This record gives sequence, structure tokens and C-alpha cells, in this order.
Amino acid sequence: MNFDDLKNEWADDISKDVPLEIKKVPLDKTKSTIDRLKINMRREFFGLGFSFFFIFLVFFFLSKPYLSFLIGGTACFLLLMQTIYFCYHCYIFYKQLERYDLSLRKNIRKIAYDLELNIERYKTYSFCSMPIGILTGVAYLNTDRVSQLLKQTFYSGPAIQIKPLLITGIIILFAQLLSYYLSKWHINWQYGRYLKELKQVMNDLDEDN
Amino acid sequence: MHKGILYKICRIYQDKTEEQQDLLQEMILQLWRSYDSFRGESKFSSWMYRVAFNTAISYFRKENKHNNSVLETYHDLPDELHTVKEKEEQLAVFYKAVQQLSKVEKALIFLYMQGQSSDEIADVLGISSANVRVRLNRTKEKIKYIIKTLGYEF
Repeated sequence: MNFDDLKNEWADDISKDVPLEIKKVPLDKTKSTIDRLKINMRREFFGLGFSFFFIFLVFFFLSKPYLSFLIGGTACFLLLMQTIYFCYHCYIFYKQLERYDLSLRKNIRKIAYDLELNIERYKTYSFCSMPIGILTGVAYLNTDRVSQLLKQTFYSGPAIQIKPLLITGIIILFAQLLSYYLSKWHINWQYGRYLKELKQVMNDLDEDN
Repeated sequence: MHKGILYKICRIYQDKTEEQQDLLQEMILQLWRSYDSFRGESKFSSWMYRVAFNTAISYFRKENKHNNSVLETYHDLPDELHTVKEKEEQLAVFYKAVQQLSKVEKALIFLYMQGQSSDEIADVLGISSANVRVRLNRTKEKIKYIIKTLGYEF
């Protein structure tokens, strides 16, 4: 066996009937990394939309003390601004995933870098938005105890009260830690494995290899 | 003819018929979606190779973890390989050997077998011609080694 023989056999092999048939496959059953990324992004977008719908529903239909309404509304507005910024950049990335006609190296490098950037942006968004989201939730809890705590934290008069400040601080710290680990796990599960695979190909294409 | 080329790419990148079928479907879909980007500045075949390889390489499946190192599996050729004609057997052994290469090496060896020059291969892969020649020699040596470990002379 040698490469010349193999090349001749390879060339002859082309005339044979191709045994594969084109079958109808639903687009969401695709195994392309890029299409799966797009499907994941679409699902997350609808998830975010549903979350905001739910938040606004609670916001307008549950009666709250004025202080809870003020804090909850401010936090909700901040959350909305961050989400719009994040979704806008996700949309740009989503639209850029359409191209398949670049050279292999350019294509893989572009997708891998853009994906990594988007993953980092997603981590930052989650890190910033989840504590605000939890604070919003706390502000929406329409109980006397929570109202009392908020009043003591944000409107304690001239004397500083340590206990309510400490409780609020612990809630924020816990929310921050929780958001960090949960978002890291979720993002790695949703996108990290694709990035790892693309980076492997990118390393293989490195000129030093 | 183009379907035959795509089929060969599928055979190189996937070993199971079902996976090959899915990949072929995916390639045809991406070729159809990307057709507007073909402006005739390069050969149609170069454009087709680019789209096909970008699809094949970004095609996701769970790794079988059999790449590069587990030489024991090379001896596990299916029985039918031993019963087909000699030429077909050689090609089947070749396909089996190519399955052990990395995704980039598969693209390289495919384009070489298609008779593409190192400049044309460089254009599709996006690396320099010199690098193509170096990698090609290395990949050919690797295939030789794998085929020898399968018990065939090369």
C-alpha cells in the first residue's frame, strides 16, 4: 500500500453511488456547534423575557408599602437597563454566527474569540444582575418584618443601626456568592464545552504546530 | 459529483452511518444558507470546501476518547473488512486510519487526496503553504504508522 495507490482508489471511489440519503431533520435537532449555540441563546432570551414579564406582573399587581415599591422599582429599572445592554450585544454576536465561507482558521478563531467575549459578558451580567434581582425579590416581599428591616436600613434617622445593616450586607454577600457559582456552572454547561472544542481546533491550526 | 465529495468528508469525520447522514444534511443546509456569499472570486470547489469543513469541524458530538493514543483499538477492524476486495479493503483501512487523526489533519489529508495543491489547501485552511507541506508530511507519516499497526504493509 502507498499513497499513490490510495489516491487512485480514492478517485475511483467518487463514481460510486452515495449511500446516504437526505432526510428531513428538524432544525433544533442539529448537531452543529454554532446552531446549538444559537438555539441556547434563543432559549435564554425567551427565559429572560418571561422573567421580566413575571417581575412586572408582580410589580403592578401586588400592593406594597411605599418604601418597598421605591426600592423594588429602582432595582427593577437597573436590572432592565443591564439586560437591554446584554441582550443588544448578544444579538450582535448571534447575527455574526451566520458566516461559514471564511477560511477554516479565520472562521474558528472569530467564533472562538467572540464566544469567549460573550461568555465573559454573560458572567459579568449574571454577577451584577442576580443580587439586584434578589434585592428586588426581597423588596417585593410584602411583610411587616421586611418593611421594618428596609426602613431601619435605609431610613434609620441620625443614629446608625448596625443590626439591619449587617443583615442586609449578609443577604447581598450571600446573593453575590450564590450568583457567582450558579452562573459559572450554568454558563460553562451551556457554552463552555463548545468553546473548549473550538479552542482545541484553533490550537491545532496554530502555525507553531 | 459534489454530493460524492461531501459524502467522503462525512466518512472522514464520522464513523457511524447515522452520524454521517446527519453531517451530510448539515453541510447541505449550510451550503444552501451560505450560497449568497459565493461571488465567483474563487473556484466554486474552494468555496464549497470552506463551507463543508467549517461545518464538519464545528459539528458537535461526544468524543469517543479514542484519538491519538489507544493503538489497541486499531486491531479491532470489523470482520467485513477482511472479506471485501483488496482495493476496497485498502481504502477501508485508510478510512479507518484517518478516523484516528485530529479534525485539522483530516481536512489536510482529504484535500491532499482530492489532488489540491499546497497553495489551495492553504487557502481553505487559512495557514501558510509552507506550514501545509510540513503538516502534510507529518500527517502522512502518522497514517503510515497507524496502517502499519493495523497489520498492513505501507
